[in-house]
Amino acid sequence: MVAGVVMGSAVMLGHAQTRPEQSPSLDSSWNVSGFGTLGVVNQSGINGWGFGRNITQRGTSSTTSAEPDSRLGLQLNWSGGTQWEGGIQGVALRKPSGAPGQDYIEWAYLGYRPWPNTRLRIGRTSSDLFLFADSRNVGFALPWARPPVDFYGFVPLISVDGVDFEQRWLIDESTWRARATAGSLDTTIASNDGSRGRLHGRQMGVVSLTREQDGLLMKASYSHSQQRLDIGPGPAQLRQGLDQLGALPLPGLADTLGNLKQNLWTGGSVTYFGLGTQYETGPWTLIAEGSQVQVPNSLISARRGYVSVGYRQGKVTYYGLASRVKPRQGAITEPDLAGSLSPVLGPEGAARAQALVGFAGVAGDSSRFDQRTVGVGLRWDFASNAALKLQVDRFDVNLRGAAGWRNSDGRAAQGTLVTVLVDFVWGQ
Amino acid sequence: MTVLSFKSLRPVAVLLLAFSLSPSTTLAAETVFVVVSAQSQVRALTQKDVLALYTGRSRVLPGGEVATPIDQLRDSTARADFYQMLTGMDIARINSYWARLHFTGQVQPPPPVGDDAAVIQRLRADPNAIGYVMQEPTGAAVRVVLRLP
Repeated sequence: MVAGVVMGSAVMLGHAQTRPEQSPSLDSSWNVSGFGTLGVVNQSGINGWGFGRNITQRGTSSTTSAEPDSRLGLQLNWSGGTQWEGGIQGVALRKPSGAPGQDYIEWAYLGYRPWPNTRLRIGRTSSDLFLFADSRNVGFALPWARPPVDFYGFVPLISVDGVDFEQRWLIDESTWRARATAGSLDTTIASNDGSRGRLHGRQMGVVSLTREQDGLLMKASYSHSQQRLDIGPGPAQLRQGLDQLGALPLPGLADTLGNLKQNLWTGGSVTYFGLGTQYETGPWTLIAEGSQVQVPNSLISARRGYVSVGYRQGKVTYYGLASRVKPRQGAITEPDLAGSLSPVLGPEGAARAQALVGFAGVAGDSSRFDQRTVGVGLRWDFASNAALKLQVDRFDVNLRGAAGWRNSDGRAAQGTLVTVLVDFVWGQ
Repeated sequence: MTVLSFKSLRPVAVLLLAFSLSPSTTLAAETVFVVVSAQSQVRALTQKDVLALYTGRSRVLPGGEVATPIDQLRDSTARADFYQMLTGMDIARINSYWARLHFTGQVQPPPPVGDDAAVIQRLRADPNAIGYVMQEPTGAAVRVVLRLP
């Protein structure tokens, strides 16, 4: 698929730069456009870990890879006058093998504007949770090579199937926008070993409020949903094994194993709260976001944040960014049960029980994000519809905090990512 | 193992820096005229009004009428000059800004119709349209509602 993306991207970029500019008819109700990214990322400092932009990706399988960032998007818009509109956008990018076709549809909706600044949509839309949540695939619209992984890497709450209401209004010099979305989500994610899992979200509600004035944008968002993670029979088998072990008549054993069991999260309520701001003044751009994710009885709960500063000089923008994700709970401390279980189960049985406990701890920690990243980069707008980006990130993953990586071994790690890519758009 | 190093990237960085410092060869227009149809009820607009329309923040004029902003050709100097005077941002930043709105399904950018003559022709046919021209229009078909800068 990546080869297809690369070939298609080359054709699109060439097409965009050589096509004589034409004046499309205003009466045309249809518009076809697209975007893409061609790029490679090189990772060093870690052995065998697979880098991914987010948990919906399988992760890299080699030190230098085009898989995480290369993508090609195609979009069809329809306008039925000033009140009706519709659109569909598909994005070809690397996902876990076996991901169904609907996962590649970012949004597809029918919209109606009863009044000019009011819009209702039905279908698949982008949730408005983050500053760059709905444009994360459109590299040309991003200041960086990719959205900060520490902040955006865990996010599966992107496309919502349901209804969406948006209202805009002006107060003095400021523009306000409120949006509410309700619906469900189904998306493929990659497990720590790169295998395919499925995340289902129900009773999902998202509200956001955005204010813009001059160069300052501020945003607040909130979401609540019930989610279920389907990654095969593994968690259920682990729970069953822990239950059998906990039934042994040893004081405190059931409580110890109960803590391990509840961290094998496969579903429950998920609450998100986020704040974001972007400020542009002269050649300077400042972007910052912070969020809190609350998932009871899991190690997913975390606080996230990043700050980015950019300076534009001619066609080149130089930027730096720093990000951090910090879990709400510490890593699971594996209890030493071998000694206390030996009299009951014998040495071999106690060793097997200890292995089970250890595996349950690792499995629980596999959903734990604990890392920080600092990076610098530049963006060169070498054409009106294309930009070259270079970015170097230095990451620092704490012990048992590598949920953002595939095939991680739970150890602490430090390393460097070097990214070179070209973003482009056409037909806009 | 293939490893990209800072050293290997140095020539590219030098090239980019040189490019960023090269002087622009395009001469900017002295004045851009924001125009509406003579049939429109609008007599004058502020820069804030036009800014809201051409950045997708509003779809209506101060009087409440629906507005249909139109652009000149995407790579034209007229478009670059207009957005530079209106927003203070160069055309690459504007294109990136609109890419974000367009490809997230939020707002569609103003459709390009051509040059000054095409804009005026469009305004004759659409009382809700609003556009901009480089030459001060003559005749009674359109009305200038704002001069930039």
